[in-house]
Formats: sequence, structure tokens, C-alpha cells
Amino acid sequence: MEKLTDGHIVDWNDNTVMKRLFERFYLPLRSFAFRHVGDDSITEDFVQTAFLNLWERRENFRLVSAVKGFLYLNVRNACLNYLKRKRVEARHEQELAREMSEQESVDAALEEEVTALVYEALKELSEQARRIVLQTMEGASNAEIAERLEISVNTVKTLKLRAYRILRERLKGVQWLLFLHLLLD
Amino acid sequence: MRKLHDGIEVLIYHFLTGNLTPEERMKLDEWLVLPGHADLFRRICDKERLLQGTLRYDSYDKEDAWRRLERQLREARVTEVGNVGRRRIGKRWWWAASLVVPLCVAAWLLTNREEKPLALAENGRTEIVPAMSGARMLLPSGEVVDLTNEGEGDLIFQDGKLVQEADGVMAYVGDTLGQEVRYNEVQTPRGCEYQIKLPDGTMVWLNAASSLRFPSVFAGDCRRVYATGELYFEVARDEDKPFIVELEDGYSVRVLGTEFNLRSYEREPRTTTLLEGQVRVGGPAGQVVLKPGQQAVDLKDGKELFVREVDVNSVVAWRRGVFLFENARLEDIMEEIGRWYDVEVFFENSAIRDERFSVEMRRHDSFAEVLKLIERTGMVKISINQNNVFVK
Repeated sequence: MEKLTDGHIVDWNDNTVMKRLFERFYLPLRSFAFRHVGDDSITEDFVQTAFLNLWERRENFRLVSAVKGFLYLNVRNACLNYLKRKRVEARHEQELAREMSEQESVDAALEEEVTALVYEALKELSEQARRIVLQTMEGASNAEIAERLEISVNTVKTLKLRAYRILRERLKGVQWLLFLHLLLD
Repeated sequence: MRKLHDGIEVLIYHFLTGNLTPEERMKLDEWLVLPGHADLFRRICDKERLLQGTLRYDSYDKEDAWRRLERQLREARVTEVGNVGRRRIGKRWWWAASLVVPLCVAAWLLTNREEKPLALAENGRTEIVPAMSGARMLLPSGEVVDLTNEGEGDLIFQDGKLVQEADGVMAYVGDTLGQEVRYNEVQTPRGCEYQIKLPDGTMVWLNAASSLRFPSVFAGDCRRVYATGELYFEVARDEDKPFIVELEDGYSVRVLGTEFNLRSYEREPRTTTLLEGQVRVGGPAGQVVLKPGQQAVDLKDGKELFVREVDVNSVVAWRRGVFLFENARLEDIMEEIGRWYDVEVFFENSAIRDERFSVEMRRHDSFAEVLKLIERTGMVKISINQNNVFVK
């Protein structure tokens, strides 16, 4: 499937277009919603509804960038409404996420967009391998990681080596290279 | 919300992957000097944060979410097909809404009598009666015959040997002398319904504004008929001669022996609903095989033909002499009723078209009764002028 970049014109008559927009934006939007409300049990509906709203109003959008703006805004509004409602119901009994300012939301959207690209790039790296990398960053030893993930130390080492190769190849930005050597120690 | 940092994500990503071109670096630098951006950049590039982000992505079930969305999108499209067509037709009648209507009120309307005067216009004296059993038939000879079940006497027609049976059912006994196949056509106008028995014993119920073309004898290796509108078929079993209903646009339903409902009115999706047996539905958008309780929906865009589970009872309620709408749009309800009572319905307040109602009523009630039921919700005012009904 062709990648949908910002300047791309959306052909609403194309049968696959909603699927492609979904592929492109679903995960970052979910995570974006999570950042706003701090609870993943309700964010699925927010994102689904945003896509349905998009479909209803599709005639208004030509560029992928416009679609993107609409989706993020829609999810943000759903999150803020949810928080407002909750606040009335809970009357401060419950710990609720602080409402993000507009600027914070815009920044969060950028962060999700970058994360989505990195996620695509690291697809080949299993969830477990990424977990191991994270724990290494946090300073855990091979033995500790092995115990936590209930795998052998050798497996940890193998996965680290694989992670090293993929990270080096896919994310060879300077900041990563410094860190990557840690993985090999 | 303010404008997103459009395009910056690609720059940051290229920075992370070490693929930043000189121009991109310049653009990124320009962005970085703006207030707050350097901090944001550092935060986004934080390795731990990034990896944690990807792990959160792993926790979402994208496939499952897509399946749910796909279903909802389809339903949305089913509603749209109708709306688009209707808007085209009735545009000049749909002036802007001036009333504020509460959202999404569903009302259960029952057929009990709790009278409240109906605000019918004074000049709305015309008695509007429900559809009658009646149709007309075009014979191969070109002759047009009026078929009303009220008609007394033996209706035996020339050529095709038409016989009037009891209870308004017309039996058609084909000419078996093996001449060339000639076609008859039964048409029900708006406000009429009809039942017919075909030469092979198949029973067909025609709802209002429908037609069925069939040969005087089913020669050859299949039984082929042509239909429009809404029809209910009880196909006589014949393993050797499949029964095929052809509709416009190359859409067809193929069966051996079974019961199914076919609906193909203009400006709405085409549906085939199976009650018993098995049917194969095919059209430009592909083919599907239905199991009982399933409905094939064709959006008439030549692209999609899909299957969904439906409440069969409400689909074939018309055959039992009942209108049954569950959480249906007022516009769809009025369109159906209009076909039955042969009236034109105009919405003077277009917002009300999308109000949803659940209604169950007898098809043979007088039109005034039916309108009373709808008015009782207090959400709409209905006035009648000749055969035109105005809703606001």
C-alpha cells in the first residue's frame, strides 16, 4: 500500500482509503488519547468515533494533513469532554489527568507522529526485544532481565544482539549510536 | 486546536535514522529555534520514552479495532446510499430547519388508542386509504389486464390461461404446448400489493411499487424471472432447475428451493434476506452465499456486496400486514409509508428527517391513524394537502 504522506490528496472513492488512513493514524491516536486521559479502557471508542466522524464529513477534506488535523482535534475534544464529565461525577474523589493545554496537545501529537514512524521502523524487533533494550537502559543486568522475563540469560543475550543490529541499521542517528554499545557489553 | 507541527515528524524521524538531508537539517534548525521547540525535540528523541511509546502501541489491538470500524462504516454507508439519492430528488423541498429538535429520541408507538386530535389541515379532506390488493398484468399479446382481488367471477384469460383462485391469489397456469417463451409482467402500483403463483408453483408476494416479469412456461434448464421493488419468494423446490431472479445492474439471486425477501427500490441499498434454504447472490460487486437469517446488502456502487445478520421478522413484516421499524430514520419510515399509501411526503424541517423512531403498526390502518401515531411523539407536525403530506 502506498504511504499516505501529509501532502497526499485523499481519494474518497478509493475503497481502501479508510483502511489506509486507519493503518496510518490508529495507533498514534490511541496513544495520544491515553496521554490526555491516562486510561486506556475508554480511548478505543474515542478513536473509533473520530474515524466515523471523518467519514461523515469526508467531503470537507482533500489533503492527508487536513485529515490528520481533524482526527487529532476530534480525539482531543472527546478526551476533554470525558474529563469534564468525570470531574462532575467524581467531585474530586478521583485522581484525574490534568487537562492538557492546546499547545501541549499539539506537542503530544507531534510526539505520537514520530513514535509511529519509529514503531514502523522497529516492526522487525519483537516486543520482548524492545522490552529488553528498555530494561538495559534502566540499568538492569542480563541476569535480572532474564529473571523478570522468565527467559534464559542466553536468550537475553541473543535478543540484545539482534536488537543492536536492527537499531543500528534502522535508527543510526547519533544519539542512538552512543547508547547502542551498551547493548553489547 | 492550534495548527499541528506539520511535517516536522518526518524531519525528526530522519534525524533519528541518520538520514537528514542538508535542506531538512536547515528546516529542522529553523523550527528548533522557536520557543519551546528545543525542549520538545529533546523529549521526543528520548530513547527510553520512544521505546516505551512503541510498547504502548503493542498493547492496542489494531486488527480488532479495524473490524469494528469496518462494520460501522458499512452501516453508515447503507444509510448514506438512501440519503444521497433522496436529496437529489427532493432538493427544492428541503428548506432549512427552523425548529430545534431534541436529539435522538426514540419513541415506542403502539397501536392502542389514546386519542389526541390530529392537526390535519382543513383542506386535507381527501381520504387516504391503505394499499389494496391489486395489480395489473401485461400479457404477451400486449394486452393490459387489471387484476383486483375484489373482482368477482372467473378470470380466465386467453393465451396464458390465467385463473383466479381464492383469497386474492392468482394462479398462473402456463401454456405447456412448448411454443416460444413469452413473458408476462405483473406490476403493483404505489398503494397496491399482490400475490401470484407462478407456473412452477412458486409463490410470490409483491409489495407496493414492484414488478415481476416471468415466462408463460419455464422452458430450458433454469427458471428465470425479472423483478423490481420488494418481493417475497417461496420458491417451489426443483433441484434440476434453479430459480433465478434477475434485477437491474446485473444483480441476480439464484436458488433451488427456498424462502427469501428481495428488496430493490430506487435510492436505497439492494437487499436479499434469506429465511430458509440457501441462495447465491451475485452482482457486479461479486458473489455471496447466504445462510438463513442473513442479508446480502448491495450498495449499488458496483464495489461492495456484503453480508450481515438481521432480524428476519422485521424484514418480512410487510407480508404479515405490519409495518415494523426499529430505530429507523423518520425519512425512511415516511418513504415506506408513502409507497404504501401512495402519498408524496415532504419535509419542511429537514433536521427531523434523521430523528429515529421505533414503530409497529398495521398496514391496513387508515392513513390518519398512522399519522396520529407519529404525531403523538410530539416531535413532528403533519399536514395533508391532497396526496401530499408535509412533515415539520
